[in-house]
Amino acid sequence: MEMTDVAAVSRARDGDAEAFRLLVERHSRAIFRVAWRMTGNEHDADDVVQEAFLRAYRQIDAFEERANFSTWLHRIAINCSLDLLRARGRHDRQYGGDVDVVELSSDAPEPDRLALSAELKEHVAAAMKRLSDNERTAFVLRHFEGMPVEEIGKTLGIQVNATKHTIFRAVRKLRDALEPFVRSTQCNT
Amino acid sequence: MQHLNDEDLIAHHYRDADASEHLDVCADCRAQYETLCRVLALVDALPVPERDAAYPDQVWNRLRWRLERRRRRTWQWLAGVAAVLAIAFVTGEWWKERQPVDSRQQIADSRTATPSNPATQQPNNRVLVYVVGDHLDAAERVLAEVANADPKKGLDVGEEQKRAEDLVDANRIYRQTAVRRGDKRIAALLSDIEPILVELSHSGAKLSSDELTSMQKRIDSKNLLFKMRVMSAQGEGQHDNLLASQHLKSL
Repeated sequence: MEMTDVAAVSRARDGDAEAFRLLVERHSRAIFRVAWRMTGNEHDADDVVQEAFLRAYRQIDAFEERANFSTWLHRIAINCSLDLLRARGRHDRQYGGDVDVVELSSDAPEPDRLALSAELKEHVAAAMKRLSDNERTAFVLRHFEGMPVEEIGKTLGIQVNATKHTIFRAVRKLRDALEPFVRSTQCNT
Repeated sequence: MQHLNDEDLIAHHYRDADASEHLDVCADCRAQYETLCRVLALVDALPVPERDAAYPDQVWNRLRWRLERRRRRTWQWLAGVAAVLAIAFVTGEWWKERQPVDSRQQIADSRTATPSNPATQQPNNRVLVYVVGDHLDAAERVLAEVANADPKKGLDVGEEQKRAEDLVDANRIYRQTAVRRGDKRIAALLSDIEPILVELSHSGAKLSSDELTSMQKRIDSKNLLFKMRVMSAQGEGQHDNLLASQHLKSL
């Protein structure tokens, strides 16, 4: 029978390296995805994955067995990403200059029916990079991770209202940057 | 009719609020909301770089190296602490040997004056047991790795070898001190451990099945792990007694 995450954590606590390896096998790719969305850079995301597992190993005694290991690990990875971004002062660098905006033709294909063109990818990536660290983090956690506003606030160390405004600012910035590339079509309400 | 603002639309999108009724009847707001949806769909469509099936192995291989290095640093730190304690203890013994006979007699007298009082019994032996307790703890972990390995598979002893190297010198110093002080029990245990530590420190990177079996028999036959655990536990107890007696003296 396949070992559960909780059982693997319990064995890893007792020094069973193979059990910890199992956790790495199960979760490293998912952690990479969230790390990449947070940092916007593959190398940074790889570093975050390493650091997140290293911290998880060091703090494994603090993991409560009734909690979900994946959620706990995601939280660690998010904190690692924030630390990395803050350490590099990405915020300052990114606000140093504007990203060139290239107009796309009005008959650009609809985004939900295609893989994005290379040019459009650049625009989306640039728009994401224009967000401050807090805005990007709040947006990624709300939009991709589906984390509740209260929990995002705890992660960022800010109040609920400030968290909401951070998410609003992030979405507004994205809309302002990307609106020229979308056509108004029906979406589910 | 009052239109929805950006915050209302965003809150609606993330299900933090429900603006469905208004959107059903207001074409302007619906158009705004649809634009927002299209923008967020663009963000969703940004592909995440793929990591192939070998990625977890790559992560693990890098991670394992870092974990081992971290463990090794911990052991080196422990060995360093043990060495400092050993030097301090041996220096203390040497200094005491050089004291005038009268002073030594006074010390001996004071030790034998109240033999029934554990707080004043052989304080230096208690220090020895306490210090050796830490050393035995470290040695026990090395020997436990050997004792618990599967004899059919042999054992990769790269890490244990380094730990054993660090422990051999400390073991020798403690054994000599114990012999000199006449503590036969500690001296005998350290004498039993030493050849195994020496053998491990000089073995190849991998113990063959035969070598491992032979070493395991030696550990088992003398019940070494059990004796080491008992002695370390006594060391911890002595530490508590020692602190208590120091506290009493200070009153």
